[in-house]
Amino acid sequence: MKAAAVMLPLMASLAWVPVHVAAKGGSMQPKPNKDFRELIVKGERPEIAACLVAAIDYARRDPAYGAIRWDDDASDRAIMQESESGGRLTRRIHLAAQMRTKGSALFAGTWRSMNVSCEQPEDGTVRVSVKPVAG
Amino acid sequence: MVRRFLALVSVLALGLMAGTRAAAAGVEVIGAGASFPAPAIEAWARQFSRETGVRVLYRSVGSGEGIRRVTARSADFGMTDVPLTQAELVQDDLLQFPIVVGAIVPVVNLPGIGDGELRLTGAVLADIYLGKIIRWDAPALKESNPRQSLPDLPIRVVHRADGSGTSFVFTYYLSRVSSEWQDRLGVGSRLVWPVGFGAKGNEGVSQAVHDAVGSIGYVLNAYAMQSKLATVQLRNKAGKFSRVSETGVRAALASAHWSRPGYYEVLVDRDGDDSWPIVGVSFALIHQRQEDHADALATLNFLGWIYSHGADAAHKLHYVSLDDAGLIDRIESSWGKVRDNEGEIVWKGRQ
Repeated sequence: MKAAAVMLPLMASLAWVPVHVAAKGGSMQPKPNKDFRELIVKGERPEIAACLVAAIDYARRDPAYGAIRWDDDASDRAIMQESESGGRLTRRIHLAAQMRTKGSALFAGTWRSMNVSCEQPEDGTVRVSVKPVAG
Repeated sequence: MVRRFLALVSVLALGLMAGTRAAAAGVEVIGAGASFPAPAIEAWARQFSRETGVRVLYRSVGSGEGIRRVTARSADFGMTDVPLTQAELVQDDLLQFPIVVGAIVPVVNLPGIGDGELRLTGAVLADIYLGKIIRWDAPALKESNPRQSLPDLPIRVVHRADGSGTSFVFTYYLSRVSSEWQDRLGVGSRLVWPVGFGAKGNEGVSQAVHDAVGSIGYVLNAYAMQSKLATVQLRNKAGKFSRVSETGVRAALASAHWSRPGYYEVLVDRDGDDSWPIVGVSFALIHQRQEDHADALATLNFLGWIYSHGADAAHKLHYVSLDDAGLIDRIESSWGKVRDNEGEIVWKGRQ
């Protein structure tokens, strides 16, 4: 599967990289983030990189899922919108990905197609929400 | 006595300058990133090198690559027209600040249509890039150009193939003027374009439009002028069709607040009768934590020199330099956050 081949290095990094970005609205630590650097060095779209980092972190922390991956054209297909209200900017990013459910000792989890959304107000927090693709 | 004292001061100052120059001779500043500001940065680098002896090398490799190289610490500074938000800047202890501004212009290669003659609304431009308008003599184009004889030709759309700040600003504009563009594609330095041919860099898009009749592309105005491409008139937010001009860029620039973290601003579709609707800002990126004190100081000296000495060269190359003294003071004050490995502050103000 193409996605698996593309995401192996990233998945490997998920297991070892410390978490610095708080998803779901937590504050962000001012430490250099290895996930961010890796994504940028791999040539990821900079305007969606913070969302991708937060999505990786979300997958690590979510009790139902253990990992996230996306196809190599998913970031180019990601839709980023930015709106301004009362002088404050909010960036929203929508992206197709797959998340792996947590498995048992005998069985690995299964990959499920998900719609990932990030909401990023200008104060720097990133809120991630995920929704399984219907069907 | 005073004369002797002044003479002594002069001798010491000359000695100091010579020493600084000699010390600077071994320092090299490496920058990389957006092709948008490249002609200006290359001109500034030549002049700065002549005046200080410090060599500045700039690689025009696109905004995405510029961010990549500064993140990987293979460049002392990066240049990007994709401004990073606070959420991104904090991930890698980056400082971001604006350097120079310029117009992004749609350019066409159409028989019988000269520079500034074709009129486009934002909605029509978006429909062309969505692939909904595919011929130059389409009714939507005739409506804005009743006096032009539009050719019976297919539209050949050219866009950037590389990660591009120019694309980011251009698609930001299309998202503002077309809800369909906003919903289907959004803003992107890289996108899956619905139609068209991809070319690398402002240089590549200019060449592609120049080479093929029926083409439309978008480039920084400096590249349009250099390649003698026909620019178009765009209808701005005030409803007026305008040709690209320094006045139009300055009108858009006047609407900037520079109040967000990292001075984040995207100057598209701004208010003002004269406002040019697609204006790009090139931002510099540097690390707050620097490994080499001398390189970091030379980098900041170069960037500070641009603010104080760069206006003439920028103007000659059809850019608009930043001349808001309050903004420049704020930017230079923020450089106090830049420290070397020993924790020493690198920039202590203009010498």
